[in-house]
Amino acid sequence: MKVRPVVRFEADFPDDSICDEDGFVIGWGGRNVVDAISEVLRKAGYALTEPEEEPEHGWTFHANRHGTEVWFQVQAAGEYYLDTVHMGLFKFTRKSKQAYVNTLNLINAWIQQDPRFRNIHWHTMGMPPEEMGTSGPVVEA
Amino acid sequence: MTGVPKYLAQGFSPEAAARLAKPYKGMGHHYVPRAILKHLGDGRVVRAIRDHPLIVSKPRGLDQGEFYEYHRRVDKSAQANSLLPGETWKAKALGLTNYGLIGRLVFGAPEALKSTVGGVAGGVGGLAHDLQHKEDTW
Repeated sequence: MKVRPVVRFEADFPDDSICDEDGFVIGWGGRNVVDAISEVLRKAGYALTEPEEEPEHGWTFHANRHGTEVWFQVQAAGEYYLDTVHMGLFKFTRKSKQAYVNTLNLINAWIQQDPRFRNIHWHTMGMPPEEMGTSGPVVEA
Repeated sequence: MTGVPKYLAQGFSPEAAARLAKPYKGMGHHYVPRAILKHLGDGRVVRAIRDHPLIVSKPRGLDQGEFYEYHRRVDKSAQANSLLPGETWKAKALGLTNYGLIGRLVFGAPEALKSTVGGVAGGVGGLAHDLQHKEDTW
């Protein structure tokens, strides 16, 4: 089993990026997508940190449930990129790995059924340009 | 090709190309991912080191577009940057890939860290050489 931790998708959310007086983006868009994802995670029992805007990265936050911590990053770039990183000292245990996969499956189930999302592709970390992406976060090796 | 012509050739609008050709003045690349630093908490030590020159790589003389390319090469989560509403710098569209692990470790390292590690390694090497040859350097 191989896990694909990055999902690329299109979504019908208003552009909430912030522009300067010349019209250039100076504040990342995608905060509204972060809020929607946060809501799903919170309902599933995750404790979340307040989203922070990171220059050249986008919006980031951590989610934690039963000791399994996942870092999330949302980049709004016409389409959206949601990166996840499994974190924590016990991330290599079978239990924690399964909890991480469950988190990705939860996100996937939600975006697959929510009509605001389309063209969903899961990728390996770094999203190589030639990679087409898969319909889910778990690929049988 | 560099500067505005390079970005025009990549398909950016004249406005976006001009912005990409401006000198980079941003935060730089965090050699130790900020996600990990944040995972360690928000204590005094973490706050003191998270934007330290030993942690942050900011190569000199790059324009904005060149920094985005550099960042993409050394950081797997650096995939895009918004320029204008509806116009975005995307690594995937430009066909840019990451370096392998060694490349990310070497080229992603801040200059201050390279100098420190290089200086210490040079000092240890020099000392080892001196001891081996029983030279008195005083």
